Amino acid sequence: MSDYDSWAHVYDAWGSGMPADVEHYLRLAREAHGPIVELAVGSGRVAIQIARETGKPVIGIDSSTRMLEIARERAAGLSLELRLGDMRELELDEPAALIYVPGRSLLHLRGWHEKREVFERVAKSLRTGGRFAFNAFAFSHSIAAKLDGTTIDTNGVVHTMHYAVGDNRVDINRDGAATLHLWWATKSEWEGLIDVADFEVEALYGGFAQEPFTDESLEFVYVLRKP
Amino acid sequence: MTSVEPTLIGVILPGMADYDVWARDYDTWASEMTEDVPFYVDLARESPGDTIVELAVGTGRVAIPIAQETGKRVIGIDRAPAMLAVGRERAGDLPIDFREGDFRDFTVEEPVDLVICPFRALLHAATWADKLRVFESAAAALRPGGRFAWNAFVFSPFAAARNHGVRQERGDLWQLVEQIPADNRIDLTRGSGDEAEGKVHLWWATKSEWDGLVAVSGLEVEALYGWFDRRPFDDDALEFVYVARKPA
Repeated sequence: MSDYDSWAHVYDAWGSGMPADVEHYLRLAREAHGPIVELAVGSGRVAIQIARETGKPVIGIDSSTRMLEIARERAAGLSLELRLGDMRELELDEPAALIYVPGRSLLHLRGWHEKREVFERVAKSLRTGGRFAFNAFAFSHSIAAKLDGTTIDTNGVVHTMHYAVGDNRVDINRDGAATLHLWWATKSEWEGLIDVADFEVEALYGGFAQEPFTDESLEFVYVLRKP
Repeated sequence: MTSVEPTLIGVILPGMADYDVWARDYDTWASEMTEDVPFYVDLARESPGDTIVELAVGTGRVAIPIAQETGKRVIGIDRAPAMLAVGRERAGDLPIDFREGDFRDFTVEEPVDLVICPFRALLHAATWADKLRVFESAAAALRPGGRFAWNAFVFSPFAAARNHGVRQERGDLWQLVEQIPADNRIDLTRGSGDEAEGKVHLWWATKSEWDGLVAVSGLEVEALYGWFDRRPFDDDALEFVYVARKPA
């Protein structure tokens, strides 16, 4: 049983605010010569598009059975293989050309140690020259100050945000569902993770149109490469 | 009052040559932070060694009471000669060795049992790589079992939202606070009257990043407190007060 199971049926409504990422990950998938893997594939929002548009085989991994059930139903007939698994225990039979994590899902990893575990496993699971791509929000004080303690309705998904600043954590509560947590990361922490896992930064964009990352950016869009 | 509003006056501190502009009335600005002194003095007293290294020693605000109260020698490192000059004069005959240097690549002749970096000075290191150099230099300077202790504010989005773009005034002096979330940075512009005299930057760090720096430099977290009275660190803590240890 995963905490995400209780969010599965509302997940797409909740996540529909970020459609521009599909184009970005699709571009990377088109450039990949070899296996493509999506971590935290959820209900398949991105992976299904990639399998459909590129015709390439895609492996999608998620820890929630309920999420995968929804994805499996939608992926019928597509070359998308869905696997139940925890990205902290990632192991692949064949090294991948592209491993990507959309939807800010890396932020569900608790603190430094879990993120480091995933970065190192991804590095091990990639071919030489393979890419690791992900995105995450830059922590905005003004958004946090505005949202803390408030109840928000995003496309009918009513949830409450609480910021636990000492632990760089956001708790997201919804009636009848398990509390979800996000641990925000700074540019410095991403740099540290990239460093310890021996990745090279191929690009850091400030958004999915591949605009440069600047002081005004609010999204980290990283493309890393295994040297 | 048990804690200082993060990102207010208390964050202004020495550490880099730009800070010379702050030296002349630095103690006025620093006077809000006093509760750290007994904490670091206690660590110095508990240390089995007779020499303590203080990084970003500035004018000796912490080093002087350590030398006075424990009789131990302090090697104080700072990049701002004007700060060091004030410190030397003030320390008089106390066993404090004020040295001009960069905390990212400092070395000591003999390993020590305690390295401290008070007053949020690590937040002046710009990137992961800069902070890691400080941690690795500290780890190299320690004997097995020795401690590295520092403190830094917890970045509070609520305080940041209040002070972003605000000019804080004190007499003729003012400072302007600007938040740059993309770079986990706070820019502080300082001036008097109509003139800006200088700008300093702080790069705030999260608990995750501190934990990463500790692990990668081969240290272990011995304790994380939420304030200098050694209260436990919790979700609402406003200060990281870390004591890390080099494994024996």
